[in-house]
Parts: sequence; structure tokens; C-alpha cells
Amino acid sequence: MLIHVVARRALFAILLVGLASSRASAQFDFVGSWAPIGTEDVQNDSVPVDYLGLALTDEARTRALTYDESQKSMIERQCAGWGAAYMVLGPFGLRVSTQIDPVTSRVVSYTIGAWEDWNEMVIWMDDRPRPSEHALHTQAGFTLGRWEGGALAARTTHVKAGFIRKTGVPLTDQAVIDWRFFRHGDILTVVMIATDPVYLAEPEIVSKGFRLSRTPLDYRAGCVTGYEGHEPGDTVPHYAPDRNPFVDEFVKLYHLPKEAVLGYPETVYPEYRKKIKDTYVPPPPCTDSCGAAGNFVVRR
Amino acid sequence: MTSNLRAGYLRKNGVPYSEQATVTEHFDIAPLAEGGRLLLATTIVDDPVYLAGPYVVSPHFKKEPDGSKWDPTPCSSTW
Repeated sequence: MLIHVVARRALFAILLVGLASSRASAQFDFVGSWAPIGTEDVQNDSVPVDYLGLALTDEARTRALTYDESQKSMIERQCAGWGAAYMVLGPFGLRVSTQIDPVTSRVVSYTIGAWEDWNEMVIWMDDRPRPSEHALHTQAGFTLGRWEGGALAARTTHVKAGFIRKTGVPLTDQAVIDWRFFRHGDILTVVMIATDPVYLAEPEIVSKGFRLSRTPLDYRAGCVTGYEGHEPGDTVPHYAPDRNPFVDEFVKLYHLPKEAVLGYPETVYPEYRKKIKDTYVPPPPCTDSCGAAGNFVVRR
Repeated sequence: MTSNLRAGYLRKNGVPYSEQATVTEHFDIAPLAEGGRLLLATTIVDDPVYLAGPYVVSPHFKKEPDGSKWDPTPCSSTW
């Protein structure tokens, strides 16, 4: 009888160990420095009015067209920084540290370190309750994470109203950002899925790769304001939405339909190409001074 | 991992890869809040001839409910 009891307990223990090890193997070591991979094309900020690939509401489009990038040169806005989405929109890498509960040895949180224009993001792993909807909203927001099928899944809420692109395409403080972090060897792939009931007709999805860096990354640098052409108290630079001088720049450069450049939802999917294939006329081949204007190809 | 490739182009503007290049692909699934799913294809190209380091891209694809939009057409060349 005793043998049976011992055998059952041993079997139970083996199952527990097996379960624990399978859970452990489903997680990866997130801690370390992850350098950005320059081959990922996620900037989309070379032209003031370039909303290609975004599914915007009319309200978002109108608001975006009021944006003047000179706003960031105002002293009171120079150190405002960017919101959570900038993790995959910005040029920097990720410096990830962790906080361990000294009693249970469980991971309490991961922290993705700050850049000079991006606040650190804490991913809480301890199932703490999400704050009240009336709690303080911040640039980084409040993020809860969990391990899910070998990936680190996280959701950010309580963000401050900000931008989904550096060209002024807005996000409200009602936005929710879901993250997935996948690791394959030395490559970390991050997927951002941003939803916003006010400004996004469909989720904005961005994926970006990072490579494990043997050299620790440190982008901390205090933001220092300086005179950039605007005196304190100056009017906030802006455009009337129907008078943005750059609204046709991208349209003329690549002969793209205006509705695509301005982020109308139907233009996001491949079916839109079929719709315009009989009417689209590409610019003539470049014959002179090609590439002379930086990102732009001069076509004559 | 894919090897034994014919030499070709990494980008349409002529950036090349050699026949010694290898392509390693990792496929992951990420759920969407409204119920859909994303397929994420992290693709790593190594080439001892033309690349000083790996070339990495991670495009994502949204799952369609069915194959009704799948409409491939044969390649046709014109002068």
C-alpha cells in the first residue's frame, strides 16, 4: 500500500516538474540590450502628409492635417517626449531589466529603459489590478504582461493623448496597445497592435526586429530645452486642416491617389490595388539628378 | 532554413544576395482583439558574400476568413 502511495506521489511530483519545466521553456530571457535593426522600414516620417497604410477616421485625418512639426521646436514641447507606440516607431533599441520578488523569486516586472525622448515602460507581470479609468494617464501608460504560448504578451492602457506617427497622426488617451514579443535566437520581434475608438478605423499594426547586443545599450540623456525659433508664449504652429501646404506633396511625387495618402480605410488592404490598377499612372522614369533630394527621387 | 538558392536580389533596386545565402524563417501567431489573427514572419537572411551582418525583416499578415480573395494570375512578359 505504501509503495502505491509513494508511487502516486512520485508520479504527481514528476507531472508537476514536467508542467513547470514546460512553462519555463515557453518563456525566454527578455532581459538585456536589444539593438534596433536598421533594415526595418517603420519610420514613415519623411514627408509631412504621408498617412499611407493607416486606417484613419475623418476626425483623425482632420486633426493630423492641422499638425505643424514646428510644434516640437516650442520650448514647452521640446521635452514632451513620445508615447508608448514610439517603442517600435522610434530609432532606438531596448534596454530591458527585471525586478524580482526577493521572497518568491518571481518576476514582478520588466522595465524597458527610457530614451532621451521616450519614458521608460514598466510591464507588470504580477497580475496586479489595472488602475481606475480615471487614474493618471502618462506617456508610457500602464502595462500588464503575461507569458502566452512562448511569447510575452502585454497590453498598455492609460496612455496620454499623443501620436501614432511622428508626422502628427494622433492617438487619444482611450487608445489601447497590445504587444507581442517573440524571441528566436538573438532576434527579438516586437509587434504593436494599436486600437483607438476615436482616431483609428482599424488597428494600426507595426512589427519591428531587434538584435541582442553584446554591448549594453544606454540611451538615457536628460532632455535640455533650447531656443529653436519660438519664444515662450508664441502661438502654437498649426495649419487649418483644409490649408495644409503639404497635403499634395506625396500625391504629386508618386502619383498616388489622395485617398491613399490621407489614410482612408479601404486603401489599407491589397484589394485597393486592384481597384486603381486601371487608372493609376506611375511617374515617368527618373532620367536626371535621381536621388538628389535625399529620400525623394527627382523625376522629370 | 532555406539554402541552395540561386543568386538574386534582396531589394528591387538591385541589392544582391549570393547563391551562398541562407534564409531562416520563424512563423509566429499573434491574436487580434476583435478575433482575427496575425501571422508574423521573422525572416533572417545571412550571406557571407554580400552581407556583413544578417538582414532581418518581420512582415505581418492578417488572416482572411477564407480563400475567396486568393486570385493569383500567371506571369506575363511584355516589351
